[in-house]
Amino acid sequence: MKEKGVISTNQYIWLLFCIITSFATLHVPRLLILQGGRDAWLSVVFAWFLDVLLAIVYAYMGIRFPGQNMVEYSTTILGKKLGKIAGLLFIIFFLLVSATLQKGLSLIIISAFFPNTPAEVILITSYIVVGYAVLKGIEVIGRVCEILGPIYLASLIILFLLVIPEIKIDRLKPQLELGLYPSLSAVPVILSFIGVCIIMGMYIPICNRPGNGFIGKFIAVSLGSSMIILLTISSIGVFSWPQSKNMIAISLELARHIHIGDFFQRVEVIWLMTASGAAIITSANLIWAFSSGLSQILGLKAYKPLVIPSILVSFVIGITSFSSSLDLVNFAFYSLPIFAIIIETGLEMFLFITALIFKKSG
Amino acid sequence: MTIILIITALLICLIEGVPLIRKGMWKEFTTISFLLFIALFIQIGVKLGMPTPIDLIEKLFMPIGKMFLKRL
Repeated sequence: MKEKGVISTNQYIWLLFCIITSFATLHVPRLLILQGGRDAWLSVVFAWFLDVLLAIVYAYMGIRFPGQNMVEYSTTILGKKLGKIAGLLFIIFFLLVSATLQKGLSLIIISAFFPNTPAEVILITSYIVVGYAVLKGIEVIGRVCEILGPIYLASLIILFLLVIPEIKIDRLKPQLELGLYPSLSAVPVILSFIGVCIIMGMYIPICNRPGNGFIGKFIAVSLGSSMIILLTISSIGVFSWPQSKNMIAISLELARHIHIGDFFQRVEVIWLMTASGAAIITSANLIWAFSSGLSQILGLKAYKPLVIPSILVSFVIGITSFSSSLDLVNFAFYSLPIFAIIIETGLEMFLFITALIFKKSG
Repeated sequence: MTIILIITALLICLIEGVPLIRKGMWKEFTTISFLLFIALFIQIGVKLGMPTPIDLIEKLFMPIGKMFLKRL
């Protein structure tokens, strides 16, 4: 079943930016600083560069197979059986990331704001919004991102500007004290999260100008990576890296730190708006990709009937898999980067090389 | 939670499934039934001590991750 919705290049950029924002406001900066130390911000620069290279491959595949998303061109390149397995791997990855993201958000919200509320309540309310968004279609999700994306960008920039008086530059020195290894070793950690933007492979065929696939991704990843760099630098400058690496949600702690006299403080509500909104939109995108991809793999006439069952599967994975924040952080730090890189980079490069060798095209 | 999930799955099956059966969309109905079955299977399986998909991924990739990344 072909997706009939069409998104503009602007909506495509903000869709991808919202995905990166959702990870930036949750556990990712902490994991980055844990591995990269004081030079963690440099890892984001390296990861940005690698993600741009990956974007070239995805954009090229989008042009080589016009009108086909990654699930469809997997079948074109590898044949029906292997192609469907490859397509399944992509969409299962999206579903698992959605479950991890929602659970991460619920754990942070519970620990920070609602300690007596069960995680299931936060998850159910988030998923109700996710389900509503996906059932409305990708065009509606795109329009929402077009409105909310600039708001998120502005709130992250304002957060950084307000925190500047608290930053001590000396906490960022000495640069490269232990050489490049800490920064380089943290690259897979950050790349696995910003690399979720491989969902661009699902968006390019429904973009009104598929030729803008690369430039749109480039802009989104550049904006998103800049925000992660600002968050990382602010955190290390304000809290120092040994303290930052132990914080559950660094951007929340930065937001709590903001005060101008006695009348402008407690602005973590702005963080809550950004984090929960971005996470819900990202989950909506991932569930849409899963439902739409699954309907294409199975040759179904419609994807919308699959949305609510997909959400139920994502919800169940979320509630059964992570009993605490530590479990989730262990998974997000040690397992998800490896799994993500195999799918995001390995699988797509395999399809790319196979398409070149066997001269497959759309 | 398991009972709530079973009731939810049955409700989803009725709400989504009945219109599909009326339109003769049997493939779609089978798919949603299978997804609901997976959700219940994971939930009940965890109660019986079975690993979740996340546990399987952790078993596969965590040893590799711990080789290269710092200890939490």
